[in-house]
Amino acid sequence: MKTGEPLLVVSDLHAGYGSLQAVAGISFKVNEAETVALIGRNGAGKTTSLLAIAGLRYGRFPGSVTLAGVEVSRASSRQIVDAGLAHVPEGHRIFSSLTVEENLLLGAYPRRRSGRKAAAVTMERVFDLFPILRTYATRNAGFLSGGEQQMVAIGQALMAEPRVLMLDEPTSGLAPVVIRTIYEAVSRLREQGLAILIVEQSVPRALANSSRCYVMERGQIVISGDSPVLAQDEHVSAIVRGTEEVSSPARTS
Amino acid sequence: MTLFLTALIAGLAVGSVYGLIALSYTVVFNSTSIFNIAQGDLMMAGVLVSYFCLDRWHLPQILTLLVILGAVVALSLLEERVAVRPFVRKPVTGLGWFIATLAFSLVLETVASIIYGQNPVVPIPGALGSGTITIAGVHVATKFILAFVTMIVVMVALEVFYKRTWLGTAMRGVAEDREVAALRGIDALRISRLAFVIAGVVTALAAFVVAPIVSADVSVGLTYGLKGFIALAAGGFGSLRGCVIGGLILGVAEQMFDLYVSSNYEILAGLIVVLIVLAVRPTGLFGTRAVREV
Amino acid sequence: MNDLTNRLGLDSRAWLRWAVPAVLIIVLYFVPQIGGSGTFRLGEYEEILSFLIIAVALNIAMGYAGQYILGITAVFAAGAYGAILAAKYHPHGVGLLAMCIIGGVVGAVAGMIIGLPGLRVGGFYLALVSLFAALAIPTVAQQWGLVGADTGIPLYAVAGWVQEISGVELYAIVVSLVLLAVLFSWALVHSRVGHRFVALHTSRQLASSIGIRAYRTQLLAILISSAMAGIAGGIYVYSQEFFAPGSSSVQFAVLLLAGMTIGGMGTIAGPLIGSVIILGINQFFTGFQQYNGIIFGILLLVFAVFLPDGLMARITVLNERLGITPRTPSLTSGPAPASAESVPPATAATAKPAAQLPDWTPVLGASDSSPLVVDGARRSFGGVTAVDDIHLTITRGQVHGLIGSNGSGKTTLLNLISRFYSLDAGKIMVGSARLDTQPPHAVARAGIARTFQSPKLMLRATALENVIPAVELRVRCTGAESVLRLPRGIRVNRQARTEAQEILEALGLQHVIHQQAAALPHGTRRLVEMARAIALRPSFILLDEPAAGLSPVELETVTEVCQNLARSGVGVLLIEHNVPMVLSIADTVTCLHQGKRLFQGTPAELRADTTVASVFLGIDEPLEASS
Repeated sequence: MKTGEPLLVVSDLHAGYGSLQAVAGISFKVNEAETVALIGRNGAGKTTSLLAIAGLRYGRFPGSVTLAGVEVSRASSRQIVDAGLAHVPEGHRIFSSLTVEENLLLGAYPRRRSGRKAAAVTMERVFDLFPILRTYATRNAGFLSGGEQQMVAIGQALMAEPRVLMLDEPTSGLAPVVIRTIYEAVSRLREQGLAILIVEQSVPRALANSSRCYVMERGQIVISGDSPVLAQDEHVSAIVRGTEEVSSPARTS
Repeated sequence: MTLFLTALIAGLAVGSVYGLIALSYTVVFNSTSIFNIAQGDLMMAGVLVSYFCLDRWHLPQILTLLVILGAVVALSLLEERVAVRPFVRKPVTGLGWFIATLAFSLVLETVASIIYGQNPVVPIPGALGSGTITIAGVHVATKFILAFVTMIVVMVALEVFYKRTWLGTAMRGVAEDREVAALRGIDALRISRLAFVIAGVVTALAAFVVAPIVSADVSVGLTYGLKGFIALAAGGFGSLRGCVIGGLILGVAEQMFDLYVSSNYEILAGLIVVLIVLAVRPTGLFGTRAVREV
Repeated sequence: MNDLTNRLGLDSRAWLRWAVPAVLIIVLYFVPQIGGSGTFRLGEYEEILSFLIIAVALNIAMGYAGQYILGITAVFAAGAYGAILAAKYHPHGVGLLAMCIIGGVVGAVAGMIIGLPGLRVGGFYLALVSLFAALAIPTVAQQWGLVGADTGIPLYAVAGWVQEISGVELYAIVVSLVLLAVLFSWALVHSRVGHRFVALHTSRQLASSIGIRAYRTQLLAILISSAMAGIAGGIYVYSQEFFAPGSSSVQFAVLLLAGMTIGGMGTIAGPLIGSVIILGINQFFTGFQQYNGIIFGILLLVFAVFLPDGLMARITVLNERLGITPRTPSLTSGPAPASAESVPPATAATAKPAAQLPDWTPVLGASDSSPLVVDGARRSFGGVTAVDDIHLTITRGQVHGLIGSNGSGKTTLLNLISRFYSLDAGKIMVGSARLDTQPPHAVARAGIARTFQSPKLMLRATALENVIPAVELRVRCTGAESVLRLPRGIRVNRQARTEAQEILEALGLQHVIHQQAAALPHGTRRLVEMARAIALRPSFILLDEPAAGLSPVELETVTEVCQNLARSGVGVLLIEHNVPMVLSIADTVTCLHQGKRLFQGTPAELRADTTVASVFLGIDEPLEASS
């Protein structure tokens, strides 16, 4: 599926914790059927940006977030899920006292009016994406490995049938073969038309799995461009590794 | 032997009331990590209402039950709004939530004693009459059986609710990780409110079955509240079965203490039970979760 | 504002701070002259005064040490019964002093009985178990003939017992005793014992990391406050010459709690103000006693929700506004600057460390010169192995960097060394001593200090007060000497203060020494926490991402501190994401990946190692496009 209309448009977003402003005015967009990467050093503000977009707002700051044309900057996290955005926070967080099935079911909670049968259909699609979960369906999610828990977390987010999916470091700390599984799933989702935003710690991995990329540093976007082009740019790795300071305004290449 | 059996049965009946209170605690606690010390006073309010309905206004039992349900649930929601909601969103910041619920219980108790006065509440006719049935040669009052059966039914209903319904599963999720629940579109505030409604229903049932069993005065709210806590401590926080077992243990322990030591110092039985539990198995028999740190 | 005028203005109003309480105290002594000195009246005053002592006691346990012994009224009753029974059976021997002593001892025992079982489980249990005890005591007492059942024991009717001190004289003595209690609590709170209480209250982990034994400290707090409550019982009995179960002990406990909440816990004056208000309302509304509960309940609720810090917090703010107490300037509360250049000098720890390098030669754990060895450490959580067969050595006098991506096991390893987690397999040793079998406070005492990923500070205390408890671990005197201000205690208190100040100055923090930690920005808090760790004068220091969120200047400070520590002979473990920083100062670097050791060697070797470069940057599977 070809890249389509912008589904997620973020404009001059600010966010912070108390006196610390972690995000100081960023703007970007993610289109339909596209994977966009957001990279940068630890503490650059990536996680805070995603949480702010998802409705767990930190402070009242200016800026706007639009989902498929609908303004959601002041919306609650529930309303944002209804509007079609799902965020998977870092750390493969799931409900470990519940089974895999129950976890997935809760992902469909906002759509429970449509009934269990509809949820079961969506769950089947999640199992197609991550077949191993089908074997663990009735097992307590707390007993799964990190990678499997991450699959549950992503699956849970997908149960709400979002149009925009945000993933915060979905592969951190996971084994290579699991990383491959997850990125293959991401690729399939993109083909189905989802707009996907991924925060990644590994620069090459981020650039290899996205069509466009934004680099954040100290709460601002300092570099943005097409991934193949940025992959040739040594500055990008250096910035993320911290061996180069950025004092120039945002460049696009 | 019959004395022992009589005490045992009475213990199971009173213990059922403690169990019901413990179940109410658990419902609130599983969704908010807050221990609502006012639960006992909510029950006492229900008892008061049942007294008015049955003794003063001579309403039929069914209607009484409905009135009690309405009153206790309303008070429960009031408490949620006024004393709990301000704290549920905050991270743990100390004693605030406990003081607020304690304050609410104080107000409840005072209002009740103003309305009712200081006299003991006269035992009220039970829903099944004051008859007895005979089991294994022992006369068991029907009101005792009602209390016990009610507790078991409530426990089973709650287990089904938590395991089988979407809402119940959502409540379990919210209890574990509010942030993830929010990201999945589950409204944690609504869930908390619902928890209070359910707890209110269970407490109302407790009031309905305790009124015929125990004649007590208006100030016993906190006593029941604390005994409910002991039931929880013994059975284990977070476990429905623990509530039931803990309540029964406490009820029976009290009656045994009455029988073999002295009925004047019955309250010591509770203290002994909790001290033993804390010394031997601090998390209780089936304990799963920790209370929000004070 | 003009410096001179400021100083003058301050001086002319600062005395109000002392004048107001002084006047109140003088007035207190003359209350009988003002309000009536009939026997009944005096008895009422003395009753309130005894209750004030209980409030002070509760404040020590709850407000400072965080031990919620709500049912302290049960302890008070126990002490009172002890005293009155002693007097009943030995009327000639038991005077005021004896009653205080007996009350104190019985109270302490009662407090231990109530407090000990719940210690392991948590403060919440203590609150409820003690409330239950408060419930049980009057119920039991009402039935028990020995203590007079319902009617109680009237001491004035006991043959041979004489209230030797009475009237206005007794009143003055009781007032003095209350003042003594307040003075004691002030001295306690501002002593090494008090510092331990507050550290424990803030965080058990924080306390353990500076060598505080949590259980002992908890017990001590409960013991002290129980003894005080018991003494209050003795005083009460002597003055009233009577004790009966009376009305609910629980109601009384709730009244006390209301007083504490309204006045403000964790301050000396707060509980006194609050208790006087509450007890005053109670006395005043005797006619409407039945409505008391509603008034108190609503008052308590309002305060708990809207003014959790009580009236004292408002008074403190007011004092600062009126200039009665010097205003502590709060550091920047605006957005953090986006780049180095825009950091205003006044709001960051800009002063460079002293030109003369401070000497941080290890004191704790210095008898041994062996390195810290981690041997085959393994730890899993649920199904995930966080740390797998890790071997690592921290040599004294060297900086050992620990890098790796998120989830690689770095912080888990640190937590294993400092014993906040236990090992599934392996050993951690210094010389021949094994660390992995000891409790966390013992590890700190053995000379291993640490910082936390998210700084753990006592927020209400100043930066200086945060560092002092760490110094007090090695600069020793007994608790009693410190509290009672005996010569050695005064000397040690002062020494601890001086040393703490020196360390803060060495880190460039001299201008925040007297500022509340809560007002400090993130970077400064990190530095204060580092100062606290250094204050232990440890042999090894474990730093958990000290550079996160720091400005470039603060980063420089941290770098220099690490180098200076190594120069002084301390073994430094530096966990960091900031790889260039680590490479610039580390002697050895270990790189972890998914819980396993990927690399160990010198920084130069690391730079040359292609495996690390690839794994660390993530090019580790064929999926990656070659760039």
